Amino acid sequence: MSLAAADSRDRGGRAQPMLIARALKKYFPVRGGGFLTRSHLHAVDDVSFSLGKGETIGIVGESGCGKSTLARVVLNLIHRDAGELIFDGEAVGTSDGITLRDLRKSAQMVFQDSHASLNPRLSIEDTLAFGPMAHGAKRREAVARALHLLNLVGLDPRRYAVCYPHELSGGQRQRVNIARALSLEPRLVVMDEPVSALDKSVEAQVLNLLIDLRQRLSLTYLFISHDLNVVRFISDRVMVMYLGRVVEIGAADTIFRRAAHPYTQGLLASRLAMDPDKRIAAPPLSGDPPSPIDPAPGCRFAGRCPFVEEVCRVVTPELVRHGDKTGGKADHLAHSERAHSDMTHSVACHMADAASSHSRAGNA
Amino acid sequence: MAATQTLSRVDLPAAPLVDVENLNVTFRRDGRAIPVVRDLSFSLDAGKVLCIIGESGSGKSVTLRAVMRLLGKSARLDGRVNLAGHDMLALSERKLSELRGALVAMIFQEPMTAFDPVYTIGQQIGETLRRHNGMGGRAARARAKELLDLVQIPRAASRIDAYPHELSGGLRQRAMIALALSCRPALLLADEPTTALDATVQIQILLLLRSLQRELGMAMIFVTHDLSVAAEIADDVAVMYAGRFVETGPVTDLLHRPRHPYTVGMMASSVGDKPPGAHLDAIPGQPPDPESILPGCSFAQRCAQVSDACLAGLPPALWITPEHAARCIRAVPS
Repeated sequence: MSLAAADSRDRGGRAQPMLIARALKKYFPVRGGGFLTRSHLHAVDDVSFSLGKGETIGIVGESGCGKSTLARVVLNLIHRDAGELIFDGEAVGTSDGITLRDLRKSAQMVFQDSHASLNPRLSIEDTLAFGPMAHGAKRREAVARALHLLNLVGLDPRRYAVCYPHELSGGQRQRVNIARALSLEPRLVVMDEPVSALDKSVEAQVLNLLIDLRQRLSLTYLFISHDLNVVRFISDRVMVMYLGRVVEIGAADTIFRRAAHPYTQGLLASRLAMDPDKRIAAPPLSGDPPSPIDPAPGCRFAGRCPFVEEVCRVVTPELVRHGDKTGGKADHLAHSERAHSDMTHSVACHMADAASSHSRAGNA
Repeated sequence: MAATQTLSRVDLPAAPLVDVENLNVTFRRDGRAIPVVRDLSFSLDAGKVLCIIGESGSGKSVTLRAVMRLLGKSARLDGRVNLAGHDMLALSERKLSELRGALVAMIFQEPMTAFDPVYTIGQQIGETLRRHNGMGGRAARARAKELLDLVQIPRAASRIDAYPHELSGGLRQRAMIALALSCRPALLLADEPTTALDATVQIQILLLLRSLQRELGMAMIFVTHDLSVAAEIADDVAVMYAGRFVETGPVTDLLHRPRHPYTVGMMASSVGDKPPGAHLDAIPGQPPDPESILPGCSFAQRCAQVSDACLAGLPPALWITPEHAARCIRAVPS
């Protein structure tokens, strides 16, 4: 756990989660379907979690699982169709809640494509000064702050402040993106595959930087990646998504040692070892992730699951607390709103739910 | 070793299948010459897998394209590239296009760029078979279906009529492999074919390539930036930095006992299974700009053990074992 010191910007104290998401939903209409009906891409479907102050949740999943849409919904960059978002005690996107302006100050994002996310016609200095100036800072203050930010992310301001994005390498551009995200002193930084496009030697530099900044600036991270090793390295908790739904959530250590959902197990077993003596003999999972357009009822993973039974194709499994033999629905939301951080291990699988009619129920 | 009898199209000599000597690739841009591959020499036996590992800009993909002469007019190729006795740099365009597909084929990171979007998978594989093997339409279609079965595409009989965009990423990659294998090449060139895939699909494609390569006795040069991919599939590994191979050797030797500081640094900076939040030993700085490479070792500016001798001249390849070499003056303890 990264326990940051109390922050004067905290509203509800350390124990109040930085972010609470309840039953978030985002469907995109797509062409196709019948004459009068429309198909829908279920990008985010009934996703709930809470993110404690100073905590890092890693979100993993394959392409199309909705992790990037979730990031954008959380920051209100795209509007959710349903559900509730609460940022440090204030509702997001309602008239009596936090204003968009304040939310933008408090929560920022770093994108995967370091090139596309920078304006090619702004120098690095202007890029970094833009946000503070838009929020009322004088140009001189904003520039001074930009130079400070460059130092913070390990770029020499004397050399890089006057550069344009195309003059920098991918790693340097990603540092600028991180600096820009920090320019308004946010509490929460959402990162969508921030190191995926970088070479390995540069990836390590940026990961070191992110961990150092989290500590120094008491940041809370929502960290999205398809790279399980990176997620394990940076996260306190891990949330595994499959076709828009959360299939498993828990402490990083628990997920990586005792994954209960067959998808998480397959994902973990697909990791390559850097050792020719430990080659994988057979693929842990077959097939591709299916299309998120109008998914069939039941468990979304049923089509690829080695343990699939009749119930899996009919009933959508709910997220239940793992090891809870009573089969009750996880109260992990209620729980987490009390605790600083909620380490409950929850799984959405009929095998983990003793009350389901799966023959392996309760044994997973 | 290679089951050469399966390779009906090309007679293979006993010499190495691939023999590259002093390959230099220089790009011309705005009147300047930019050296991207410098003085590269290597050979590969039939039926073996060589992984070239390097970061972006190291010259690994350019090397691969040079072997098949796929580079555009702005590239100047010097040296010798010999494939099964053919001098690839001297061949006429016509002879070259006969050998492409039959002797050597290539698969790419993004299969959508390898397929034409307006023809079905079956039509495109069939076209290759008719062109190179002189098959008739019906025979070509039957063979195309066999190839889709070979790459384990489920329900191949119906997928043969699918357009590229109708397939998922993993199936598209399999279809591209089927297309590349359609004329039974002795050498398959693979340019990061699994990089864009999800983890659970990546391992499926790697294992498919591994088993096809063995069954067909086909040699493969596989370019990747990921050491763990090499660990999964390679017989031999070449680590490339700033246009040169800086370390070469059998995969187990090289990954268990890396000797070049760059290879050591790459392994140390991998997150792998390091304890959460631990400090990673990242390699400082970034690879040099190919236009301004100084004499001496190109890794010198980022190397923690740099000395004057490293800057004086290009370090020779020192042999640690008869098969494992590194271009570092410290590779062999003196």
